Amino acid sequence: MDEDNAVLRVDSLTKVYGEGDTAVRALDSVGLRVDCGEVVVVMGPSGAGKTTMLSIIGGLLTPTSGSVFIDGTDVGRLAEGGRARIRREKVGFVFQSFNLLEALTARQNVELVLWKAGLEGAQARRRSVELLGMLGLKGRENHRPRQLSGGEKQRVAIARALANNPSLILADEPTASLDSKRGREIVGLLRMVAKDLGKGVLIVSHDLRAREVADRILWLEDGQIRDISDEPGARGVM
Amino acid sequence: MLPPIVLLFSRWWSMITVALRNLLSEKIRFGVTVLGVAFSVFLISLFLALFRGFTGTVDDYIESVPADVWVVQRGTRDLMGVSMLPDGLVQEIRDRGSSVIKNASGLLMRPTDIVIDGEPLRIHGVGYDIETGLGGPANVSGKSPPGPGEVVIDKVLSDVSGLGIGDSVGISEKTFRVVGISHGGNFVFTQLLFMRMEDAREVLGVEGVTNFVVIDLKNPSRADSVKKTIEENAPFAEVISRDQFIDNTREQLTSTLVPLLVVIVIVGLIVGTAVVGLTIYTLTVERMREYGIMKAVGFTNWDLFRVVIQQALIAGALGYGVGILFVLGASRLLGVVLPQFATTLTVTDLVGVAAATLAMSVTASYIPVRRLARLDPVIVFNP
Repeated sequence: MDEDNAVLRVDSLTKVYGEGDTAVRALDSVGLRVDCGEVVVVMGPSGAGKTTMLSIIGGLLTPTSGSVFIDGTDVGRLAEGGRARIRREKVGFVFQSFNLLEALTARQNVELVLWKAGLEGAQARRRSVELLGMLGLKGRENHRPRQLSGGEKQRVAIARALANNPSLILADEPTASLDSKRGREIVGLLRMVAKDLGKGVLIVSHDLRAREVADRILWLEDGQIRDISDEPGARGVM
Repeated sequence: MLPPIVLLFSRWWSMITVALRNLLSEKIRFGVTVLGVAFSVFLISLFLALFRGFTGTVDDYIESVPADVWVVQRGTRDLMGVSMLPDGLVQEIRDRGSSVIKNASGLLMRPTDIVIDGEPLRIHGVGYDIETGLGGPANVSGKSPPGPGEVVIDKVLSDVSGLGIGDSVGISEKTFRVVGISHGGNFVFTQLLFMRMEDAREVLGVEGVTNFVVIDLKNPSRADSVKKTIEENAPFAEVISRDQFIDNTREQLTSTLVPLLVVIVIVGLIVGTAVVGLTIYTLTVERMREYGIMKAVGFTNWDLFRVVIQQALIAGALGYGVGILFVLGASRLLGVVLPQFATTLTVTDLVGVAAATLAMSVTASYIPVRRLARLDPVIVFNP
């Protein structure tokens, strides 16, 4: 793989909670990379450290040791303000429970991150309407989250994740709250984001449907990660 | 590309949108919060307006008397104090000071009851020398000076009692006819009724005594020498300059109100801060996850603090507007129902109350902001 093509590179990432006898090693020297246009799915049992890993990669949590490089920037070396900037400019989040702001419309939820990035009113509006249209939400822009279905909410969340044109999309169980059909649509959209828009997409999921869109599949268990893409059954029944 | 100032406003306005929508998500709670702030603003502003109105009113009478100095009994400091001077002092002052004194008159001023349709009403009767007019009524509609058996009453007394020109009023078993309505004789708890000195001596029961001597000087710069001469020749008397007499009277009448004003302002500020604080805190706790989302998508702690403070400021600003409208309405109503209560709100007071509301809102944001500062954005990964 071409090193320059890496959107995300994680080296020897370790996270230990607590101290002494009560210490829990949530991540143990985890290494992974995601390239532009690549969909990487991380699977594993509950409590394996998937959310911890995603939190550290997204700059929401600091590691005990190891490095996270996003577009060549070592996130772990940045102060809180710098990590907020990376989250704003380089990373888009898609969450299991959508995490939209209930008081805002679909369009305003997307505009929110654009406002923070300094895009003025009309430009922000154009960009958010364009993204929502691209994700099949034309005509739903002024609906509030409670007026949208689960699939629609997740589309709004993807639009918000794409708003600032980030290099990396981090998706945490993006299909967990959706039925089978909607779940398949959402992972299909995330693949489209990677292939058509050239983003790196890292999906953490229990959902077997996510495997269908993956370029590579990683297995995280007991804090350690391994590539199972080529293992028998990885893309079929596990 | 828009100019930086427009961009700055645009970003600021965008965050206001979030703050406003958060507030409006629970309209009843928001309405109660605004009313809570409005109540505080109303409480503080109305009392301030009454205080200003009172302090402004009590000066009016003394300011209307064209005297440079007031002679009082030694130890008396103000118009409401007990002052008894021998009647002959007026003539003595006139005789000895003819070269520097333009006019000098005795003034009788005593609290008394007037009887209107059998009902007593406490007022201050003023007997004055109609030849000099010193200490008499000001801005009179109708007849002035009053003749024997006639009185001029203050406008507020007319409003309070319903007395008008041509009506009769009883004072100490003698009946007087109202011939004029004057202005500037309202002391809130009492009003002035003016009559000729001769009538005052008869009904106020102070023969051979005057309460004050008011002196109009030919040259006001000679006030100190006049003071010295009078106090040397009449050691029982004290001469007070007009400005000092005004200050003393105002201080005497308002000193009891100041602690009350301070208490009202403090109570108002506590109530307002508590109402806004409780609402903003509840709103912050309820939306902790949403703040976590904002943090996760790249907002800094300061951005989140700004949303919280903006929410408090919006509630404060609306509460301030509603509160001031209430005060203006109440002032108007008070002028009709209780005309003796004059109200005055100056621009300085309005700005002061606005600053207090601002401080109230910012203070109310403190605890929610501290709670937000401890927010762990990993909360967003919880299902």
